Amino acid sequence: MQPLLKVESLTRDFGGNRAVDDATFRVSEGEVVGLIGPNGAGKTTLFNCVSGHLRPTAGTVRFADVDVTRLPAHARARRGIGRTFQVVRPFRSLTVRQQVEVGAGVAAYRSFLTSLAPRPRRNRRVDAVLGDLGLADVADRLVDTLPLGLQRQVEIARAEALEPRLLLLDEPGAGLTNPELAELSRHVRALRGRGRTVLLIEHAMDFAMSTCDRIIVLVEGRVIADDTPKRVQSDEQVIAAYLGVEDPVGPLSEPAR
Amino acid sequence: MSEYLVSIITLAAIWVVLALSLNLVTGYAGQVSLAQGALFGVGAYAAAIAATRHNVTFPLDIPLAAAITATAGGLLALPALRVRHDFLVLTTMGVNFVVVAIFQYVDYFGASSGIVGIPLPALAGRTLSSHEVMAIAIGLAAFTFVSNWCLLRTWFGLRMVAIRDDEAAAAATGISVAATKIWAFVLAGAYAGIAGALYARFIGSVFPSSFGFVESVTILSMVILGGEGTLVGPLVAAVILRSLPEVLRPLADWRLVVYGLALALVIRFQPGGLLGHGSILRNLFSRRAARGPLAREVRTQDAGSAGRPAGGRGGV
Repeated sequence: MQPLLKVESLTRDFGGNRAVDDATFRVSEGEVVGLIGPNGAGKTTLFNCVSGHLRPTAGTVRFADVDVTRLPAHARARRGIGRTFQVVRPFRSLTVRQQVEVGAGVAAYRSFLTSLAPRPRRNRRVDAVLGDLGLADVADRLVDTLPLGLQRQVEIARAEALEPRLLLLDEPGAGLTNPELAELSRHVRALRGRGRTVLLIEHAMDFAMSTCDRIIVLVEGRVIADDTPKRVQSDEQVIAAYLGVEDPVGPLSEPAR
Repeated sequence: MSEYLVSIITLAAIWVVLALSLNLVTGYAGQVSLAQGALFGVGAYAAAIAATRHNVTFPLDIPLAAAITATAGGLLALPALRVRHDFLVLTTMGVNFVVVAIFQYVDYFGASSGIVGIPLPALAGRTLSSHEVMAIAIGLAAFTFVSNWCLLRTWFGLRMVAIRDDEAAAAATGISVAATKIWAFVLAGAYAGIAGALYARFIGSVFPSSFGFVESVTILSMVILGGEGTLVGPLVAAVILRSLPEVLRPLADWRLVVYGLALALVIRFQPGGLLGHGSILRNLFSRRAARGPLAREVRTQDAGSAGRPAGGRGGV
């Protein structure tokens, strides 16, 4: 499998605070990779550096063998990096269908002059994406009127319309009920079935472990493990840093304030 | 029809073009600009100079002024790209003061005495009557309305609304936020240029004071009072706000007080504008009218989320 995304020695500082520290990893074509880590580990910062919403302080991001480190977010999206956000960011005055049309339109009509073409009433690509993600019934609704699970689906659909090669999902399962999580897991596996490579941040461990081929563990901005879900779960460093074990010292090491 | 009424209608039509031009930038692309008066001025001065010094005849001066003002709009977008919200308002306001100062102090623009003696529009050697000029003004207002209506049904129209709603999400969807803003300002400039050229020809003279801060505030008031991001709202507001002081003469001196008060009341009680989506008036007139191409679908169960929140995006 070809490495689709190569992140090399990526570092991002916010003032004196190092959010991502020398992170290096690869994602191969067709993989579903989970990025996990405690709150404040730098997962979303790392995502933003990959999608172009933030510039890294140091290091490079290579996508499909091209150095995209200096490209702005929209240029990376056009090259095939789609993403969703931790807190959903729908276009609030557009219907579900129109959200998906935005992505489909960008894929087909890039320049200003071509974008002056009138939008057809129905677009096959848009209908296909809405159908794939189970949104056909709510296509004419505003996103604000939908439950959170569907709002997250809309964000995935919007990114899908661009036909991205890599899909970055930032906590797609946050705030979802168990049935919604099961539905999401099914959709993520279907994405892989359609040839998408997925990198996702997740807090719901069961979901991440059952959905992903590989797990990358980020702690204090550093990659401390990068392996199959099974091996990551038994990695002592990971257990100590993140998954949590009984503290060997016991309650004495608890709040000493 | 009396000359006085003809004059009121002609000016109202010109201000419809202006309100709709700013509506593209502010109502659809979400960039609140207080420099539309300056762009209007650039169009008027371009046409005035073309007509008085270079013998450019009507109607060629209109596309010429539109092209020059569109360029000015693009230039205005450059500083605007770096700032948002209140800083954008202040930046564009500053640009407006600079442009008026240039008209005021540079001899090429006639300095404080302006440019006078602009000939009335003529076609085939015959000077047009005021009625004919009025018809042209109405025609251009109709052209602006229809072309904006078409623009909103293009992919570009969707992109403008996307960057208004959420710039980060738009960029993640492959939209160049910068390019979309620049083109919105360019288009707004082109329409303002049309309005300016017609104004210069109709009035026969241009002075720096006509294109100042007050004018920019007036145009923005039309957009916000009518309902930013709708086509009918700014159109109706432009006609009313432009004609009211003429019809009710005693009100003329109180014009700015009335605008300011109306603006404050509308922002407080109908933040989407008097004819905005989900507004009382629009719901009263028709439920179907609220279904524009990019409209919030106003349904009973959505009524709570239909209007823009008070003091939210778009407010000044």
